[in-house]
Amino acid sequence: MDAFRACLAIYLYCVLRATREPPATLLGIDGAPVRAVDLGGLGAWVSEVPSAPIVPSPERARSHDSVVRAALEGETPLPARFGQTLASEEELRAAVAERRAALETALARVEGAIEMTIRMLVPRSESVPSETTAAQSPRARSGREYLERVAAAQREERNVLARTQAVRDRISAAVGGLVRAEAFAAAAPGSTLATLSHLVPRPDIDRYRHALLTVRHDDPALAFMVSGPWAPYSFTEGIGT
Amino acid sequence: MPDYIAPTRSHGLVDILDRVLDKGLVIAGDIKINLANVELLTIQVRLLVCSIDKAASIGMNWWQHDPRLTTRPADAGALGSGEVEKRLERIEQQLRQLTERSGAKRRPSTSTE
Repeated sequence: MDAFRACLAIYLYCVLRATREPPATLLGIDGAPVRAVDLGGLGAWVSEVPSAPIVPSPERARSHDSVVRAALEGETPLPARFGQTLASEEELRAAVAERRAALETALARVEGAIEMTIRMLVPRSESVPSETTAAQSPRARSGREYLERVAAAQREERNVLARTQAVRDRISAAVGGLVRAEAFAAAAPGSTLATLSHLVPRPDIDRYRHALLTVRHDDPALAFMVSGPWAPYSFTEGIGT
Repeated sequence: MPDYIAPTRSHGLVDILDRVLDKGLVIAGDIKINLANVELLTIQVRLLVCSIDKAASIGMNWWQHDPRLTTRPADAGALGSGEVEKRLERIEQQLRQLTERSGAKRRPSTSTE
Protein backbone atom coordinates (compact mmCIF):
# COMPACT_ATOMS: atom_id res chain seq x y z
CA MET A 1 0.00 0.00 0.00
CA ASP A 2 2.84 2.36 0.90
CA ALA A 3 4.59 1.50 -2.36
CA PHE A 4 1.34 2.20 -4.20
CA ARG A 5 0.95 5.57 -2.41
CA ALA A 6 4.52 6.48 -3.26
CA CYS A 7 3.56 6.39 -6.96
CA LEU A 8 0.77 8.90 -6.39
CA ALA A 9 0.78 12.65 -5.99
CA ILE A 10 -1.86 15.10 -4.77
CA TYR A 11 -3.47 17.31 -7.38
CA LEU A 12 -4.70 20.67 -6.06
CA TYR A 13 -7.99 22.23 -7.26
CA CYS A 14 -8.64 25.03 -4.79
CA VAL A 15 -8.03 26.44 -1.32
CA LEU A 16 -10.99 27.18 0.96
CA ARG A 17 -11.53 29.35 4.04
CA ALA A 18 -12.44 26.27 6.05
CA THR A 19 -12.42 22.53 5.47
CA ARG A 20 -15.55 21.54 3.61
CA GLU A 21 -16.34 18.10 2.19
CA PRO A 22 -16.93 17.94 -1.58
CA PRO A 23 -20.06 16.19 -2.90
CA ALA A 24 -19.50 12.43 -2.53
CA THR A 25 -19.89 11.87 -6.27
CA LEU A 26 -17.52 14.62 -7.40
CA LEU A 27 -14.80 13.36 -9.74
CA GLY A 28 -11.67 15.24 -10.75
CA ILE A 29 -8.76 14.73 -13.15
CA ASP A 30 -8.94 11.34 -14.90
CA GLY A 31 -12.07 10.40 -12.93
CA ALA A 32 -10.37 10.33 -9.51
CA PRO A 33 -12.64 11.09 -6.52
CA VAL A 34 -12.13 14.53 -4.97
CA ARG A 35 -11.50 14.79 -1.23
CA ALA A 36 -10.96 17.55 1.31
CA VAL A 37 -7.70 18.16 3.19
CA ASP A 38 -7.77 20.01 6.52
CA LEU A 39 -5.01 22.59 6.55
CA GLY A 40 -5.55 23.71 10.12
CA GLY A 41 -8.32 26.23 9.56
CA LEU A 42 -7.97 26.54 5.80
CA GLY A 43 -9.04 23.65 3.58
CA ALA A 44 -8.21 22.31 0.13
CA TRP A 45 -9.86 20.03 -2.43
CA VAL A 46 -7.51 17.50 -3.97
CA SER A 47 -7.47 14.17 -5.76
CA GLU A 48 -4.86 11.49 -6.32
CA VAL A 49 -2.97 11.45 -9.62
CA PRO A 50 0.06 9.48 -10.84
CA SER A 51 3.24 11.27 -9.74
CA ALA A 52 4.18 12.34 -13.24
CA PRO A 53 3.65 15.75 -14.85
CA ILE A 54 0.00 16.28 -15.70
CA VAL A 55 -0.19 16.89 -19.42
CA PRO A 56 -2.94 19.41 -20.12
CA SER A 57 -5.83 18.29 -22.28
CA PRO A 58 -9.30 19.71 -22.92
CA GLU A 59 -10.88 16.92 -20.83
CA ARG A 60 -8.55 17.52 -17.89
CA ALA A 61 -9.06 21.30 -18.09
CA ARG A 62 -12.83 20.74 -17.95
CA SER A 63 -12.44 18.36 -15.00
CA HIS A 64 -10.32 20.93 -13.14
CA ASP A 65 -12.84 23.70 -13.74
CA SER A 66 -15.85 21.55 -12.84
CA VAL A 67 -14.33 20.73 -9.42
CA VAL A 68 -13.63 24.43 -8.81
CA ARG A 69 -17.16 25.23 -9.95
CA ALA A 70 -18.58 22.71 -7.48
CA ALA A 71 -16.59 24.43 -4.71
CA LEU A 72 -18.03 27.77 -5.84
CA GLU A 73 -21.51 26.51 -4.87
CA GLY A 74 -20.49 27.31 -1.29
CA GLU A 75 -18.12 29.97 0.03
CA THR A 76 -15.91 31.37 -2.70
CA PRO A 77 -12.69 29.34 -3.03
CA LEU A 78 -9.29 30.42 -4.37
CA PRO A 79 -8.98 28.39 -7.57
CA ALA A 80 -5.60 26.81 -8.27
CA ARG A 81 -3.91 26.99 -11.65
CA PHE A 82 -4.05 23.80 -13.71
CA GLY A 83 -1.41 21.15 -13.18
CA GLN A 84 -0.15 21.61 -9.63
CA THR A 85 0.77 18.39 -7.93
CA LEU A 86 2.44 17.89 -4.58
CA ALA A 87 4.16 14.75 -3.36
CA SER A 88 2.13 14.43 -0.15
CA GLU A 89 -0.32 16.12 2.21
CA GLU A 90 2.67 17.20 4.29
CA GLU A 91 4.12 19.01 1.28
CA LEU A 92 0.74 20.69 0.68
CA ARG A 93 0.54 21.75 4.36
CA ALA A 94 4.05 23.18 4.20
CA ALA A 95 3.32 25.09 0.96
CA VAL A 96 0.16 26.57 2.49
CA ALA A 97 1.79 27.38 5.85
CA GLU A 98 4.56 29.29 4.08
CA ARG A 99 2.08 31.77 2.58
CA ARG A 100 -0.79 31.51 5.00
CA ALA A 101 -1.19 35.25 5.63
CA ALA A 102 -1.35 36.03 1.89
CA LEU A 103 -3.87 33.21 1.34
CA GLU A 104 -6.09 34.47 4.16
CA THR A 105 -5.98 38.01 2.77
CA ALA A 106 -6.89 36.75 -0.72
CA LEU A 107 -9.71 34.57 0.66
CA ALA A 108 -11.11 37.52 2.61
CA ARG A 109 -11.03 39.64 -0.56
CA VAL A 110 -13.03 37.11 -2.63
CA GLU A 111 -15.43 36.18 0.18
CA GLY A 112 -19.03 36.39 -0.99
CA ALA A 113 -18.00 37.48 -4.49
CA ILE A 114 -17.53 35.86 -7.90
CA GLU A 115 -15.61 36.80 -11.03
CA MET A 116 -17.21 38.20 -14.17
CA THR A 117 -15.09 38.58 -17.29
CA ILE A 118 -15.53 41.09 -20.07
CA ARG A 119 -13.70 40.58 -23.35
CA MET A 120 -13.40 43.86 -25.19
CA LEU A 121 -12.92 43.76 -28.91
CA VAL A 122 -10.89 46.67 -30.17
CA PRO A 123 -10.96 47.33 -33.91
CA ARG A 124 -7.60 47.59 -35.71
CA SER A 125 -6.79 49.34 -38.94
CA GLU A 126 -6.57 46.53 -41.46
CA SER A 127 -3.88 48.22 -43.51
CA VAL A 128 -1.42 48.42 -40.62
CA PRO A 129 0.46 45.22 -39.86
CA SER A 130 1.54 44.46 -36.31
CA GLU A 131 4.97 45.64 -35.21
CA THR A 132 6.32 42.10 -35.35
CA THR A 133 4.97 41.52 -38.84
CA ALA A 134 6.29 44.89 -39.98
CA ALA A 135 9.75 44.16 -38.64
CA GLN A 136 9.86 40.71 -40.21
CA SER A 137 8.35 41.62 -43.56
CA PRO A 138 10.81 40.89 -46.34
CA ARG A 139 9.20 43.34 -48.70
CA ALA A 140 10.72 46.57 -47.36
CA ARG A 141 12.77 47.92 -50.26
CA SER A 142 14.72 50.44 -48.22
CA GLY A 143 15.69 51.24 -44.69
CA ARG A 144 13.36 54.22 -44.79
CA GLU A 145 10.39 52.09 -45.88
CA TYR A 146 11.15 49.58 -43.13
CA LEU A 147 11.30 52.28 -40.44
CA GLU A 148 8.09 53.87 -41.72
CA ARG A 149 6.34 50.53 -41.41
CA VAL A 150 7.58 50.02 -37.87
CA ALA A 151 6.53 53.58 -36.94
CA ALA A 152 3.05 53.00 -38.40
CA ALA A 153 2.72 49.77 -36.44
CA GLN A 154 3.77 51.54 -33.23
CA ARG A 155 1.23 54.33 -33.87
CA GLU A 156 -1.44 51.69 -34.37
CA GLU A 157 -0.55 49.99 -31.06
CA ARG A 158 -0.89 53.36 -29.31
CA ASN A 159 -4.25 53.91 -31.01
CA VAL A 160 -5.44 50.47 -29.93
CA LEU A 161 -4.41 51.22 -26.34
CA ALA A 162 -6.32 54.51 -26.44
CA ARG A 163 -9.43 52.85 -27.91
CA THR A 164 -9.23 50.08 -25.32
CA GLN A 165 -8.96 52.63 -22.54
CA ALA A 166 -12.05 54.45 -23.84
CA VAL A 167 -14.13 51.24 -23.77
CA ARG A 168 -12.70 50.35 -20.38
CA ASP A 169 -13.57 53.78 -18.97
CA ARG A 170 -17.12 53.53 -20.30
CA ILE A 171 -17.61 50.11 -18.68
CA SER A 172 -15.93 51.13 -15.42
CA ALA A 173 -18.18 54.19 -15.16
CA ALA A 174 -21.23 51.92 -15.44
CA VAL A 175 -20.24 49.10 -13.08
CA GLY A 176 -17.57 50.71 -10.88
CA GLY A 177 -19.82 51.01 -7.85
CA LEU A 178 -20.71 47.32 -7.99
CA VAL A 179 -17.18 45.99 -8.32
CA ARG A 180 -14.89 45.03 -5.43
CA ALA A 181 -11.74 44.63 -7.54
CA GLU A 182 -10.66 44.77 -11.18
CA ALA A 183 -7.97 42.95 -13.19
CA PHE A 184 -7.04 44.03 -16.70
CA ALA A 185 -5.08 42.36 -19.46
CA ALA A 186 -4.41 44.60 -22.47
CA ALA A 187 -4.62 43.18 -25.99
CA ALA A 188 -1.34 41.55 -27.00
CA PRO A 189 0.40 43.23 -29.98
CA GLY A 190 -1.48 42.22 -33.11
CA SER A 191 -4.50 41.06 -31.11
CA THR A 192 -7.91 42.69 -30.87
CA LEU A 193 -8.98 41.25 -27.57
CA ALA A 194 -8.44 42.86 -24.15
CA THR A 195 -9.80 41.24 -21.01
CA LEU A 196 -11.30 42.99 -18.01
CA SER A 197 -12.17 40.86 -14.98
CA HIS A 198 -14.33 42.06 -12.12
CA LEU A 199 -14.80 40.71 -8.64
CA VAL A 200 -18.51 41.24 -7.99
CA PRO A 201 -20.35 40.60 -4.69
CA ARG A 202 -22.91 37.85 -5.32
CA PRO A 203 -25.96 39.94 -4.36
CA ASP A 204 -24.94 42.53 -6.98
CA ILE A 205 -24.67 40.19 -9.98
CA ASP A 206 -28.07 41.09 -11.40
CA ARG A 207 -27.40 44.81 -11.02
CA TYR A 208 -23.99 44.31 -12.65
CA ARG A 209 -25.59 42.57 -15.64
CA HIS A 210 -28.23 45.25 -15.85
CA ALA A 211 -25.58 48.00 -15.83
CA LEU A 212 -23.80 46.32 -18.76
CA LEU A 213 -27.08 45.90 -20.57
CA THR A 214 -27.59 49.65 -20.22
CA VAL A 215 -24.11 50.32 -21.66
CA ARG A 216 -24.90 48.09 -24.64
CA HIS A 217 -28.25 49.78 -25.11
CA ASP A 218 -26.77 53.28 -24.96
CA ASP A 219 -23.82 52.50 -27.20
CA PRO A 220 -24.46 49.48 -29.44
CA ALA A 221 -21.16 50.09 -31.27
CA LEU A 222 -19.12 49.07 -28.22
CA ALA A 223 -18.00 45.50 -28.82
CA PHE A 224 -17.68 43.50 -25.63
CA MET A 225 -18.84 40.16 -24.34
CA VAL A 226 -19.43 39.04 -20.79
CA SER A 227 -18.92 35.62 -19.27
CA GLY A 228 -19.42 34.33 -15.78
CA PRO A 229 -19.92 33.70 -13.01
CA TRP A 230 -16.43 32.20 -12.63
CA ALA A 231 -14.36 31.30 -9.61
CA PRO A 232 -11.97 34.22 -8.98
CA TYR A 233 -9.11 32.88 -11.14
CA SER A 234 -7.94 36.42 -11.91
CA PHE A 235 -7.76 37.50 -8.26
CA THR A 236 -5.11 35.22 -6.83
CA GLU A 237 -2.09 37.40 -7.54
CA GLY A 238 0.37 38.37 -4.83
CA ILE A 239 0.56 34.89 -3.32
CA GLY A 240 3.08 33.37 -5.70
CA THR A 241 5.73 30.78 -5.07
CA MET B 1 -26.59 31.36 -3.46
CA PRO B 2 -26.70 28.71 -6.23
CA ASP B 3 -28.84 31.11 -8.30
CA TYR B 4 -25.86 33.39 -8.71
CA ILE B 5 -23.69 30.53 -9.80
CA ALA B 6 -25.90 29.23 -12.59
CA PRO B 7 -23.97 30.24 -15.72
CA THR B 8 -25.70 32.36 -18.31
CA ARG B 9 -24.55 29.75 -20.82
CA SER B 10 -22.45 26.63 -20.73
CA HIS B 11 -18.83 27.64 -20.38
CA GLY B 12 -16.92 27.15 -23.59
CA LEU B 13 -13.74 25.15 -23.79
CA VAL B 14 -11.71 28.12 -24.97
CA ASP B 15 -12.89 30.21 -22.01
CA ILE B 16 -12.02 27.40 -19.62
CA LEU B 17 -8.56 26.75 -21.10
CA ASP B 18 -7.71 30.44 -21.20
CA ARG B 19 -8.50 30.61 -17.50
CA VAL B 20 -7.25 27.39 -15.90
CA LEU B 21 -3.93 27.28 -17.78
CA ASP B 22 -3.02 30.91 -17.34
CA LYS B 23 -4.62 32.11 -14.11
CA GLY B 24 -5.23 30.89 -10.61
CA LEU B 25 -3.33 30.25 -7.44
CA VAL B 26 0.22 28.90 -7.67
CA ILE B 27 1.44 27.74 -4.27
CA ALA B 28 3.91 24.98 -4.94
CA GLY B 29 7.54 26.01 -5.45
CA ASP B 30 8.39 22.66 -6.94
CA ILE B 31 5.22 21.86 -8.81
CA LYS B 32 5.49 18.91 -11.13
CA ILE B 33 3.93 20.46 -14.17
CA ASN B 34 5.01 20.18 -17.72
CA LEU B 35 5.34 23.86 -18.47
CA ALA B 36 6.29 23.30 -22.10
CA ASN B 37 2.90 21.75 -22.76
CA VAL B 38 1.00 24.35 -20.78
CA GLU B 39 2.72 27.13 -22.69
CA LEU B 40 2.04 25.45 -26.01
CA LEU B 41 -1.64 25.02 -25.28
CA THR B 42 -1.92 28.53 -23.82
CA ILE B 43 -0.39 30.00 -26.95
CA GLN B 44 -2.77 27.99 -29.12
CA VAL B 45 -5.73 29.19 -27.08
CA ARG B 46 -4.49 32.80 -27.33
CA LEU B 47 -4.28 32.45 -31.09
CA LEU B 48 -7.85 31.22 -31.11
CA VAL B 49 -9.26 34.02 -29.02
CA CYS B 50 -7.16 36.88 -30.35
CA SER B 51 -9.26 38.03 -33.26
CA ILE B 52 -12.92 38.89 -33.53
CA ASP B 53 -13.32 36.94 -36.76
CA LYS B 54 -11.95 33.85 -35.10
CA ALA B 55 -13.89 34.54 -31.92
CA ALA B 56 -17.12 34.65 -33.91
CA SER B 57 -16.21 31.60 -35.97
CA ILE B 58 -15.64 29.46 -32.87
CA GLY B 59 -18.94 30.42 -31.34
CA MET B 60 -17.85 33.28 -29.11
CA ASN B 61 -20.61 35.42 -30.60
CA TRP B 62 -23.04 33.98 -28.06
CA TRP B 63 -23.35 37.34 -26.33
CA GLN B 64 -25.29 38.57 -29.33
CA HIS B 65 -27.99 36.07 -28.42
CA ASP B 66 -27.97 36.47 -24.67
CA PRO B 67 -31.25 38.21 -23.80
CA ARG B 68 -29.63 39.65 -20.68
CA LEU B 69 -26.94 41.37 -22.70
CA THR B 70 -28.67 42.37 -25.91
CA THR B 71 -31.50 44.71 -26.61
CA ARG B 72 -33.15 42.48 -29.20
CA PRO B 73 -34.71 39.07 -28.67
CA ALA B 74 -32.49 36.03 -29.12
CA ASP B 75 -32.30 34.83 -32.69
CA ALA B 76 -33.77 31.39 -32.23
CA GLY B 77 -33.06 30.45 -35.83
CA ALA B 78 -29.34 31.10 -35.56
CA LEU B 79 -29.02 29.24 -32.29
CA GLY B 80 -31.24 26.39 -33.40
CA SER B 81 -29.28 25.70 -36.56
CA GLY B 82 -26.58 23.88 -34.62
CA GLU B 83 -23.96 25.80 -36.59
CA VAL B 84 -22.32 27.18 -33.45
CA GLU B 85 -22.25 23.72 -31.88
CA LYS B 86 -20.75 22.25 -35.06
CA ARG B 87 -18.03 24.89 -35.11
CA LEU B 88 -17.25 24.34 -31.45
CA GLU B 89 -17.06 20.61 -32.07
CA ARG B 90 -14.59 21.19 -34.90
CA ILE B 91 -12.41 23.49 -32.82
CA GLU B 92 -12.44 21.07 -29.89
CA GLN B 93 -11.39 18.30 -32.26
CA GLN B 94 -8.49 20.45 -33.48
CA LEU B 95 -7.44 21.26 -29.93
CA ARG B 96 -7.49 17.56 -29.06
CA GLN B 97 -5.27 16.76 -32.03
CA LEU B 98 -2.86 19.56 -31.10
CA THR B 99 -2.74 18.34 -27.51
CA GLU B 100 -2.13 14.74 -28.57
CA ARG B 101 0.66 15.87 -30.84
CA SER B 102 2.29 17.98 -28.13
CA GLY B 103 1.80 15.12 -25.63
CA ALA B 104 3.60 12.73 -27.98
CA LYS B 105 6.50 15.16 -28.37
CA ARG B 106 6.81 16.12 -24.72
CA ARG B 107 9.98 15.56 -22.76
CA PRO B 108 9.79 14.35 -19.18
CA SER B 109 9.98 17.45 -17.08
CA THR B 110 9.79 18.53 -13.50
CA SER B 111 10.23 22.18 -14.27
CA THR B 112 9.68 24.71 -11.58
CA GLU B 113 7.89 27.98 -11.88
